Amino acid sequence: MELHILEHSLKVASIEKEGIQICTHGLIKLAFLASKTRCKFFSLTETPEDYTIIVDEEGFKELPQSEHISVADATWVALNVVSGGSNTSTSQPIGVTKIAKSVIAPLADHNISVFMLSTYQTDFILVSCRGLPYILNRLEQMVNGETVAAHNLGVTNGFVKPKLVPRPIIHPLSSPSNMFCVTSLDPDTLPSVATLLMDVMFYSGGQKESGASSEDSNHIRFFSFSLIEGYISLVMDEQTTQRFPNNVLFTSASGELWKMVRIGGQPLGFGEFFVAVVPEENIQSVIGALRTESAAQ
Amino acid sequence: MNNMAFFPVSLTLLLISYFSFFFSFFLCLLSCFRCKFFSLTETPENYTVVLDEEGFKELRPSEHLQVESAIWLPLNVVSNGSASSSSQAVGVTKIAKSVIAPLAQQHVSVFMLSTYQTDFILVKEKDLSVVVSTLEEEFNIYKEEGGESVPVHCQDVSNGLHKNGREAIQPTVHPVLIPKNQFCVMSLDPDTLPSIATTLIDVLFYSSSPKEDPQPSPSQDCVKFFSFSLIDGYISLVMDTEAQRQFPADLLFTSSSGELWRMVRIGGQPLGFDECGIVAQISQPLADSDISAYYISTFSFDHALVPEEDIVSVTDMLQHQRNEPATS
Repeated sequence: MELHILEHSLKVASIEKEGIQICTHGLIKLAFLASKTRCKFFSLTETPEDYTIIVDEEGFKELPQSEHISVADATWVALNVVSGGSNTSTSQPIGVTKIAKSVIAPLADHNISVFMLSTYQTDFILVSCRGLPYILNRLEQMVNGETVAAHNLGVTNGFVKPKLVPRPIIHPLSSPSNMFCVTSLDPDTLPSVATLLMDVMFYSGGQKESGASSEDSNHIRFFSFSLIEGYISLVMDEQTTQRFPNNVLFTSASGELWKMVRIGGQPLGFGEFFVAVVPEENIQSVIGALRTESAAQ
Repeated sequence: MNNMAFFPVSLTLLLISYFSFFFSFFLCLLSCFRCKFFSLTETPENYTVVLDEEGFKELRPSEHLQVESAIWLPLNVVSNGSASSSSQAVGVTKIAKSVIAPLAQQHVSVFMLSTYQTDFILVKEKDLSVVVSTLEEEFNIYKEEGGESVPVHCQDVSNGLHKNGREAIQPTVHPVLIPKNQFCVMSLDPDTLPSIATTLIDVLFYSSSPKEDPQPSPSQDCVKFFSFSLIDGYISLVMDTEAQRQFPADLLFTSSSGELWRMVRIGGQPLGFDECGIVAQISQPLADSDISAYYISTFSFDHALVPEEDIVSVTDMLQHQRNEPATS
């Protein structure tokens, strides 16, 4: 497997629901008029609390300065794992499951904070620029049993390897009842659903719904749109999907539905709450496994 | 006798500096919007928005927003099938002598909004009784209420003032500017609006740098002007031929002749909302020559659109008007 460090320098920002009006000029340009901007990495995720934006430096210029926008101090770098053609893994799972042991756990063990963004196409591991030197030092190590070369990267930093840290706090979980679809869209067809997407993104949620949802709440407001290097990814619940024309969105052949596990009772820092989506048929075993781990700690 | 309808919708005029009301504009692209009267015109200076109370609720107070203090009512003239006018002209020319001139004489300030479908004459709510008493000899006047047309007579709206009580003064003759770009007046099936939404958004909000030169010189080749209205479910678009090329050819429709129009921009300094007779001083000579014209007022200036083939005679006419010594 290959671990790629992408060229984007990324900013992570939170926009309050009450402040979205002042940002729509920039956001619509980034989402729907890509030819008008040099931004190559744009992600917008709506949750009940806020909108989380991940955007490169070119895209960040499109956002206004406002008291409604909180920007994480760090600049982030995106990593992504690309499977070699020769790789014959017996594991069928997709998404972060493929890189949990080889990438995510080692980074956690070495106290490196990550911000994850899974899309229809791939999984991006965002790390703070501060953590990058250590990651570069570790690139000679094994990733899923294969050596990843890091020669001639021109990075020298004298970075001291951080000591192993204890496992972090186990955060509370909730699993809303709505089912989600992870879909994509041909960029050429984006204009045909632009008004519908704008409606879903900016007009369908109402102003600031009740904050963190309790576990017994039926549904949760969650919508994610990303346009990264020309590829579009959408995560939306099944109800929202039904608003789109049948032939526009595409998903995996199985048309799998996903359930959400929401991690965090209080904001976790940077991007507020973290969310995982897992296959609908596995949701009970996932929650069971996570609760078991929580109890063991 | 022609019919005149006035709509009991209270309209607000706004000036908005660049890019400050996106959230509200996009609502007009969505079917859930309860606003029934929405017009947006971009000029080099600003955006002018005319919208009803439902639409106004969608706007947030901002230092970028100037709201004209008066509430306005839209009037429009509906020709009876039996009315046999020899004039083939369209737009304000048809109503120059019957509506615009009499209102100017009674010192009623008007704000014009011509669309592909019709011409709206906006008058201040406080002037309604004067408007009705001035026009009721010429027109059957109806008030639109819940889809019904209810006859209106002078006593129904009287506030004890049948005339404005002021002698109509000779209006200032304002300078005009005639840019080189050619314009199209078009419409669009509302069902196809979503398919061109991104193009429309691009043209309106991203295709010119924020705040171009706000005072075009008389020799300037082209002037940025784009008007979009969605009124009672009907869409009207006024754009120059360069903007038109960005849209799919099969979606926008215009009159069978596919006529091109040239603009006459009226005003050297912002005109304000109180002066009377500005529209009349342009529409009267056009009516005398039976030249069609669309007329779109904005927060700062007025804009008349005349057929391309008439621009030379219109230019001569307006220059002659400006060179003539004022008559008392």
